Amino acid sequence: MKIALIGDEDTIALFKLAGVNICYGSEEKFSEVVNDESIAILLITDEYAEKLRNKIIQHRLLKEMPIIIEIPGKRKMEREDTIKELIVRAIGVEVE
Amino acid sequence: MAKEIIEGVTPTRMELLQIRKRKALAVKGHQLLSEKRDALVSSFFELIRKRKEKRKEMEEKLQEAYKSLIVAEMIMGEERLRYIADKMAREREVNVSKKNIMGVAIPKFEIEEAEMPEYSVLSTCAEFDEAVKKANEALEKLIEVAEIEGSVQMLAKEIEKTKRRVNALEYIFIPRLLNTITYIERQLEEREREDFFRRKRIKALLERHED
Repeated sequence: MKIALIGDEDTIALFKLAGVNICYGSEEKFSEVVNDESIAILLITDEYAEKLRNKIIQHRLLKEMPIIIEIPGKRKMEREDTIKELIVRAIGVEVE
Repeated sequence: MAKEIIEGVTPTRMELLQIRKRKALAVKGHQLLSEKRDALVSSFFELIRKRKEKRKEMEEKLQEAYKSLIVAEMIMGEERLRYIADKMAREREVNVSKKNIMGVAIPKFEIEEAEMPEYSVLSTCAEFDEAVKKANEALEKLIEVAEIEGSVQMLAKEIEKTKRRVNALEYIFIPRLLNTITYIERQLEEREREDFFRRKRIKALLERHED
């Protein structure tokens, strides 16, 4: 199965070198990608993940595939990742 | 809510026996489920710890990869590098399988070996090779993170579900069954007292009659 990426141009260039060919530069492609059954992993850079936050959380609760991984973009961003939210839901407390 | 009983029960001995059986089953189920929940939570913590570690490694690798990409871009020019990156027609795919942890199916990824990418040695530089290597390493680490985060996701859902079941049994079903049992027992006792009294009364009546 395939790996897809939603991110900025630099990140796209980097992952193209690693053989990730399904790359999009816009968050509008999100729903298309998550409904594509040939994609197993979706990488999203922080910037885009922040915009898609609610959609990502919803996707995580409703569907198993693809697995969404938030990766730091070229510029590092300080933000809460959505996995934390899952952890809080599951055990009721935040774990470092 | 505290005194809620199951609707539509008839206070008979048969019903009482049946409800007692159901209560025993519910208590057993509750015990099993809370054991499952505890086991899930402990492996969940283990996973979270592992995730933190792997994520750190992944982020480091990614930073390295970005750095070497920037160097390669500086030497070759951004546009040409991107052009070559686009033309490198190869796709790394992952094989997905499922593993089972306590009844929870978690994903397992295996990435295909990196083939030698096809690009002309003449139009690229050594730094480009380095960037390709680093990007591949970062991707491999990412796959490991994906596996763990996928498991975290599945386990979190399962824990939520199990927790909900445990709570439902503990706070709704079992109290309700207990209340129903007391209700039936009281009704039966009441009936017995009535019966007893009636018999006494009749006996007295009969005795008086004989006299």
